[in-house]
Amino acid sequence: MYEIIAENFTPVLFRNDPFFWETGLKTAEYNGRRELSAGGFLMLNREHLYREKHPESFLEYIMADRHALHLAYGPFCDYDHHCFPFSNLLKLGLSGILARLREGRRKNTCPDRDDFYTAAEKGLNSVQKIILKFAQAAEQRKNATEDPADRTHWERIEQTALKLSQDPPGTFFEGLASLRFFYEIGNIMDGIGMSVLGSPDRQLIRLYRADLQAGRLTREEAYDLICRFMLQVDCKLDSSRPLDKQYNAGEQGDTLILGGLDEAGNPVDNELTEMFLRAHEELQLIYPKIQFRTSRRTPAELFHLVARPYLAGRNVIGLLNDEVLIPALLKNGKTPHDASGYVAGGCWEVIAEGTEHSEGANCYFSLGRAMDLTIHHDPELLKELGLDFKQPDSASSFQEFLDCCMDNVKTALKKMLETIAECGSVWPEVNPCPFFSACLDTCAETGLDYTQGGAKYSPHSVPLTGFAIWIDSLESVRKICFENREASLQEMLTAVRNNWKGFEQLRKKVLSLPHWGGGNPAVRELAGEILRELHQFITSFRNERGGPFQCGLYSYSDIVFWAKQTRATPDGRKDGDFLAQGITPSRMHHDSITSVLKDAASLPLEDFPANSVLNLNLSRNGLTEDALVALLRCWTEIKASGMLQLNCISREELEDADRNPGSHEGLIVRLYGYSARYVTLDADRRREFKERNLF
Amino acid sequence: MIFDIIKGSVHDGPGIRTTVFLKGCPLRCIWCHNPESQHFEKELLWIPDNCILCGACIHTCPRACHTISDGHHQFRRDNCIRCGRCAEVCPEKALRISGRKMSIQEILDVVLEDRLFYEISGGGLTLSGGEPLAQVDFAEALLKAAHHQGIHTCIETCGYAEESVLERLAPLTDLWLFDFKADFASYPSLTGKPADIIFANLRKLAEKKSRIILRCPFVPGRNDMSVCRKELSDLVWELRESIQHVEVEPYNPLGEVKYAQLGRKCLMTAEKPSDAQTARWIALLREVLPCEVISG
Ligand code: SF4
Ligand code: SF4
Repeated sequence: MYEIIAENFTPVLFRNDPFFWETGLKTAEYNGRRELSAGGFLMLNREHLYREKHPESFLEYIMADRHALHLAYGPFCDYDHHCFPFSNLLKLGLSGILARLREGRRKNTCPDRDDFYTAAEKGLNSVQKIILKFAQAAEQRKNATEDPADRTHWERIEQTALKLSQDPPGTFFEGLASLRFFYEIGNIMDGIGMSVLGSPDRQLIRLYRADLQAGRLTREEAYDLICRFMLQVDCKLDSSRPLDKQYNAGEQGDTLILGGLDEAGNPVDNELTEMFLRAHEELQLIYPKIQFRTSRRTPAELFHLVARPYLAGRNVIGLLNDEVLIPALLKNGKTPHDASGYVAGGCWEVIAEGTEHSEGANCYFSLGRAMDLTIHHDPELLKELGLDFKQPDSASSFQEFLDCCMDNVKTALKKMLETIAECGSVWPEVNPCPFFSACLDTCAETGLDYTQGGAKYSPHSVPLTGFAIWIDSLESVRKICFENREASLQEMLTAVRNNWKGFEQLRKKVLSLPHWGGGNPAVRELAGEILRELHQFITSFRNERGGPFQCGLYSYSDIVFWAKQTRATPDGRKDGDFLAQGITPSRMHHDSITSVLKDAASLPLEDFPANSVLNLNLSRNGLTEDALVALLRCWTEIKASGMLQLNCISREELEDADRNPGSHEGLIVRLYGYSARYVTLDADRRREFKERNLF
Repeated sequence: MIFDIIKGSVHDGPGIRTTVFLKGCPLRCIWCHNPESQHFEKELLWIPDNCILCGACIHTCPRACHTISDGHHQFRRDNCIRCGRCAEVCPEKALRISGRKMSIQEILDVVLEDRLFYEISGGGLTLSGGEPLAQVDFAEALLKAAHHQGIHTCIETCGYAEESVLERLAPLTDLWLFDFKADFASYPSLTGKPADIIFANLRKLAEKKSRIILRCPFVPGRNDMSVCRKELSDLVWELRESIQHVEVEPYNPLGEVKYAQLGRKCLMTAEKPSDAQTARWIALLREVLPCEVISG
């Protein structure tokens, strides 16, 4: 496959783009399907292998997706959200990676690893051939023109391509060209999608400073290159079209990581961090998706730069919290070096760059639906899902009710995790990735593809969603049925099963109870205990590569679409009401930001290295830059979540945008790990966005 | 008597704050978007759109104010003694009482819950309203208690009070968010009170070297005339030692529906000024003011 790609692709070069990356294979890469995210062509063509090997498990697993219990993206292994191992490439260059592979082969004594080495070497050779074809194409363009500026342009591409076919980049320009090219080539070669464009401030600063010192580059030239580097990512999408007419509903990975701490705990931010943020703001970009890593050492000026776009109605920056994520990664076995170099894949999938793949978006599990299936007696559906759930009706104490709920959720999780381990082990046949694996650390030594567990780390993330429903429902039953005894458990179950019809007073009582996000110590304690128990349970399983399952707290647009299938729950939620994202409190309560942040910070988030996401929508009316910066600092320092998905909006503006979309083209909102123009959203997404709590 | 406490506010002074809204105000600004804050006593808000005709209020009201017939809910406000019982049982928040009594200690306990946030963000306690100066004993005691705990304090005020009130509160207030609502001559017609007492008070605060942020509602056609700009400019130049910056607050029509919910007449309706309109007004002010002008 590698050789066919290298032989047949067409290098496409642009006169105003200083970089080279376009292979003309985008449609092939997406298998001709508009709705497919990054990558996927091998998976789509070979998915039948799963079905053939484990027909029953396959079907039940897919059914769980169809019935909104958990996602089946891939369906057992995440085929995108990856990060190309840029740091290895920037250090070794292709020839170094090749040498490392050959050295590994020389030392490896297992004969069954030969196929991996052969394929990986072919992959690396093919990539070298692809780069050289770019060099050749640039040379031809150069020779075809007399214009000196044109010649300089083509000459630079030619020389850079020649260099990168062997060596690591030696200049800032070559560094940017590497990020751009290997991001794209990573997508094409192995059929898995790359989402991360790099961490340019930490990865390229040395090259940038050396260029400045040697007089090879000015600050202005660097800024211009940064603008062009980002601009061509953004203009891939026609983001002014209605969402359903856009490529992949307007969502692309294309993530750029900025800021954060190094392994010694020092901030890495530098003049490049600032230049990337400024360029993104000046060009009014949505993509690349900037994920800004904060810490208690992030300087005020950077917080202000990050805050500014929000106040202009451009909710385009994601915020990652090093104070939460680095300790979580360390606790879960990463070295300080690997933990501090983390990136977030497509939306928030945390990856140790250079040493592991992404497995963050394959199986979001809905605690909301698990509660629904516990309460609403539905033997038909449970049978279809292959699940044997206990009935809560006979519980005579809160402990018994709690045990029933926890047993059920564990039953469903067990089924999912065991199926992933069983069926996911077919992934190396479905979508082996020798080229990508060779670029990751340790696959060259182990002689194993990452899909077989050859990389340094091999986790599989289990992101939970519907957290607020789970906690509030338990608290509601505890208080109403067993502490205050305002209704019997049977009455409560009947009320919920009737979607609260005829039980309005009971629902009012439920809604006035202590709840998640309301700052109540007993609820916090319950939430913490439950997460600890789920974490312990989930991590007791081994995944398809023999690695650990690791926990997360987030989901994607499932909070909209799964909600439609999720029936009423004891927290007062009615049939079809939206779920809340990650650890975000329910929409039925309007608490203060501070009680939400304090509750969030009380959770054992160090056990959730895959990420923990909190949504906050702030009213833009009267919100000053200083106040927003103060809030970002608080979120960071009290360690309220691994990721903050922030919006600063005004209700009137949203209402006016519904009436007069033409006047609000520039209003960009943060949805589910990505941002889009509000006026392009469909009715469901708009309603979900507007129904979020506004602080 | 307070009508609300908002924790985690990022809209009422520096940092993250707890804002305590005291009920009752001597002014009647025609654009007031919190009409439930104006009266000094409790009030009942009635939001018919939320009513699901469950009938719970009918049975609890001691004055038979609620009746339902032919699918319509009738509410007789003239009989209501604002006891709040119906609001307690209404499952859909169609009835809501504005106003409750809280002790200093009760409020302080709430304020102290967020001490950590004040420390990280430079926030604290803000007294707003209604009009905090109108409940001076209460305001004084609360500010004292907050200062005793080392908490930064702000007062958001229209400035209408006797001089002695300011004498008492100034030493306890770290920052004043003082309204400049209109040109002086328009004050009586737009706010119901003359400007002289208000700006005499502002000057008193400046004499005491108080730190002041001027807050200027922006209601196009009402207070964006050149005379208004001129008087604001003169005032800021005169008091520039004390005035930190000026915040422009565009009119918010969200309060208009509340008048009907309170059974009162709305004094003014208007669209919210567009961002461009607000930006223009800010630009005009920046031309003449010796301090930063921001959108607040
Ligand atoms: S506040 Fe009291 S008197 Fe007034 S309507 Fe409600 S229950 Fe009746
Ligand atoms: S209690 Fe509320 S919802 Fe029920 S009839 Fe009265 S106003 Fe309507």
